Amino acid sequence: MKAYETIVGLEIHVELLTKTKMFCGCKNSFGDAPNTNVCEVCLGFPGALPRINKTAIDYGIRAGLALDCSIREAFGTDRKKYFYPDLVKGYQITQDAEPLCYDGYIEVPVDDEAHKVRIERVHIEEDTGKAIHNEAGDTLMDYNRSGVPLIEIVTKPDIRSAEEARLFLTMLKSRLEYLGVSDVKMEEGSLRCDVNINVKNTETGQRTAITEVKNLNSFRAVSRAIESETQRHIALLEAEETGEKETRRWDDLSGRTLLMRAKGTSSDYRYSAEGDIPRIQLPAQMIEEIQRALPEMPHVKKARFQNEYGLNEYDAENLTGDPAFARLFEELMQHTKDADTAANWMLGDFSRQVNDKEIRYDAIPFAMKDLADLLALVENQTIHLNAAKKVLRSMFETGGKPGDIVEKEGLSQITDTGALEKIVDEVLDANPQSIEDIKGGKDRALGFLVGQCMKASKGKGNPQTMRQLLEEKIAQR
Amino acid sequence: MYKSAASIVEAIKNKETTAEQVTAYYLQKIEENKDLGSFLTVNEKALEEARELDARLLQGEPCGALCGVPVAVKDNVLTEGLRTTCASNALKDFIPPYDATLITRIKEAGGIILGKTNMDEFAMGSSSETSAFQITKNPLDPNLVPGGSSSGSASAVASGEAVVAIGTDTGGSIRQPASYCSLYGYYPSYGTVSRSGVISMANTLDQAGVLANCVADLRRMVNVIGGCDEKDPTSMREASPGLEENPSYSLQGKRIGYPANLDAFPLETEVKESFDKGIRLLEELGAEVVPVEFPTLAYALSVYNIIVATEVSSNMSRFDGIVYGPRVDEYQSNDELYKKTRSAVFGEEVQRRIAMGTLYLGSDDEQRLYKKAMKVRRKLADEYRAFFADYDFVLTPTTNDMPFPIGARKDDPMVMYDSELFTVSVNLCGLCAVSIPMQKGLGGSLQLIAERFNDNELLQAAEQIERSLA
Repeated sequence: MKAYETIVGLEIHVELLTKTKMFCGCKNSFGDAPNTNVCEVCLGFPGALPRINKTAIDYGIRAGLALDCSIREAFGTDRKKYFYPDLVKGYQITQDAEPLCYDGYIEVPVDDEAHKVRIERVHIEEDTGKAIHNEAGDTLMDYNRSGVPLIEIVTKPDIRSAEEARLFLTMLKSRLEYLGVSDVKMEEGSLRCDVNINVKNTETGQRTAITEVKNLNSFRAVSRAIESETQRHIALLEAEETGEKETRRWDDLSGRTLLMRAKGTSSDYRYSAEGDIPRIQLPAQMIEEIQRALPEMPHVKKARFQNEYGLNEYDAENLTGDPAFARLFEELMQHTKDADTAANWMLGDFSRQVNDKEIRYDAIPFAMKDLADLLALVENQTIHLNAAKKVLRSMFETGGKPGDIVEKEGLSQITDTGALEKIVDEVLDANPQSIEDIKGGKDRALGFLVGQCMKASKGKGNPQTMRQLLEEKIAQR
Repeated sequence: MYKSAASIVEAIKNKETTAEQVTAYYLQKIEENKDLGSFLTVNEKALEEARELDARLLQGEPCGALCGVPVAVKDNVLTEGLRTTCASNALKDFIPPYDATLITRIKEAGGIILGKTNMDEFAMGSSSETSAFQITKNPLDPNLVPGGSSSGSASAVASGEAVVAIGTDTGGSIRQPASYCSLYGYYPSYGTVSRSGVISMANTLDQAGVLANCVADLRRMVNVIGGCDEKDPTSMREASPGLEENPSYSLQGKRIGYPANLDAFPLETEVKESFDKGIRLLEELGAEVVPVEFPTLAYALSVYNIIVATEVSSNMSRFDGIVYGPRVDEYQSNDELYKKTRSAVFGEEVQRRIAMGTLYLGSDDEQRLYKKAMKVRRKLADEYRAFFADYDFVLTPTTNDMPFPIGARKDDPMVMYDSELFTVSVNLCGLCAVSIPMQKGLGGSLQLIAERFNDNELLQAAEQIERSLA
């Protein structure tokens, strides 16, 4: 049995959420009418010169710091040359020799151990325009995206599986969301990922040639592409072949990659210094100031949630994936003590309502104090769990206070023992067979009777009290 | 006939003439000198713009520094609504939607854009012979080239079709034609004049500058067009170059070095004679003129050719037939579209430099020559820095040769490159320089070079030499 090791490195492009483009004052905005956010600079007019966007540098540094990179205090920019209709100048302004950030890492949990995926570099660059192929067979160009600020994040070939790649990307996305530097939406192209992959036979040391996989439109596609390529590369090794360095595109429908560019046709980008932008020397203290203002990163927050609230790792992980969601949880915790219950509600019914109703976290129609009040109503047995779930649904729909909803809909538990005893008697009278069953040792029938009692009380009884009363009364009969 | 921009501004200010009359006079001169081929496009609205200026002056608008001064502009500087071609088929019908910053400033100072002057295609050449449209003749002898690449700008001023002209200079393209046409030509320190709207040839070397009949006009023009521009991050920080006239400036006691190994360079006799005459003149003015070793200077031209080609190759890539330039009709793929279009619209010299630059930047030999050229460029700059610690100026002939007959060097690009022998190191090291004609009519010129941003003293010294020659 031969052992194979999958070797994966990722190249990730992330569009930055700056107001304006990388080298001009045009609006950086997705989905506008074609060619409306353009000017002489981002259209590459003769004589037009780039002016670097300082916010993009700031965002690039934030991303670098969040990935534990070193930041370069003085750096230049370079021209990367190739011809393509979406590239107006015939070169892209990027950073080759001196990336803004370098030598970082993310620790990815693999089989309960933290595995370091090293980040080789994070550099700033400009995006290209977009080709639109219409039904008539024409290619139309939209240059709204031309010059939009990007960071490119390049990992070392440290990833060993599709699952690790998916986890890495999830963690990366989460950190960038925390920073607020990008909306990281793969479906809108604000996060794009290329995969470099090959496979090594760990016994013989033989390796396949590296394949670059493009056109990956979701984390799932990345994961599937790695699995599919792993099999293709293993097949190569088993046939005593190494394959050739090539670029392939992922085809989501067929679930496999297709050859795009073979070896020997790979581009030579002929990098050279960009003389139109003077070398940049970051102001003293700038990096420290950005570092100080950096929000708590998800992996740090997760650890804190485990320590501070005594949550298990799973809950802590899920509560901290999205910064806005984590913030809501912490707001809730200011008004309640029981973290486990709070986490259950947030990850359970609360999340379900948010997903069903497609509500954004910043548009929840009630305050987290209200949710805490609801939890308290359950805690002090004013209402039982099922009723509480109903109340929450109503809160999402109307934004009302839990107390008001309980009162209005008459959902508070019946605490009057006389009334409860009456219900129990009626149910027992109507179900003599069940009494026989229970006396004969069939305990399951008791659950049925509790359900009947709850039904009769229209959900307002306390199931525990009901069970107790039933047991007592059956014993008396 | 006006001698200088200053004399025009004075005459209009004193109501001896109007902007309209002055413009009409120069438009007439352009018409009369059509055969010289100085202009590619004459501004049809020039008279109208002059009349509008006159009307504003009547309403009390103060006279600007270029009030009513007609200016000829090289055709690689963008002029809103006025065709700008770079003398190339690639931009044959290009009407810019905006003005270069320097044009905006000329207009704000009351200048009138007369038209766009012929040049070597995309500023690559030294004679106007690479222009896709026409050859410009030397007004001093129409059988000779006027130099280049600011060919039409030089011939326009030399023939009296304009009193001043804007040129651009990447390795000598203002100073060499100024010398060939016996004019004053000024390459300001890199960063003095905004490059926004000036079509790049080699963007770390390009500067717009001026060709004129006197130093005072060079100063007047650059004070108007120079200074910080937020559209060009490589422009100087100061709002104005702040060049000042100083009639009492003296070269007495100034230390001037010239290349000691001058004999190693191929100098034509007239050039050598003018240069020796220049040294004697400076000594008479009290300067100490001494031969100095510049060991790296001999490599400057090679370094220049490599760096220019590499920058050219990327600056030209936007002219690919997608957004700019005419596109061929038949193609099967993007690659074929690019190859066919670019082969059709660029002339031989432009293609040669693109090809060389592409070669130098290829990864095959890890960019060995490009990296080496960058290194030698720094070494050369260090050499100049050390020199300027002890000296005030460098003196060289502007060119090693005299203007040559039209057609004589057409098939020998390497000899063509040689005429930039003494000018390129100024661009490579970001220095400033003036070409000073040693006589009226054909003859050699002096190139006076000063340290970066020592433009003020450079022009004051040049002006003292000008006074002594007169």
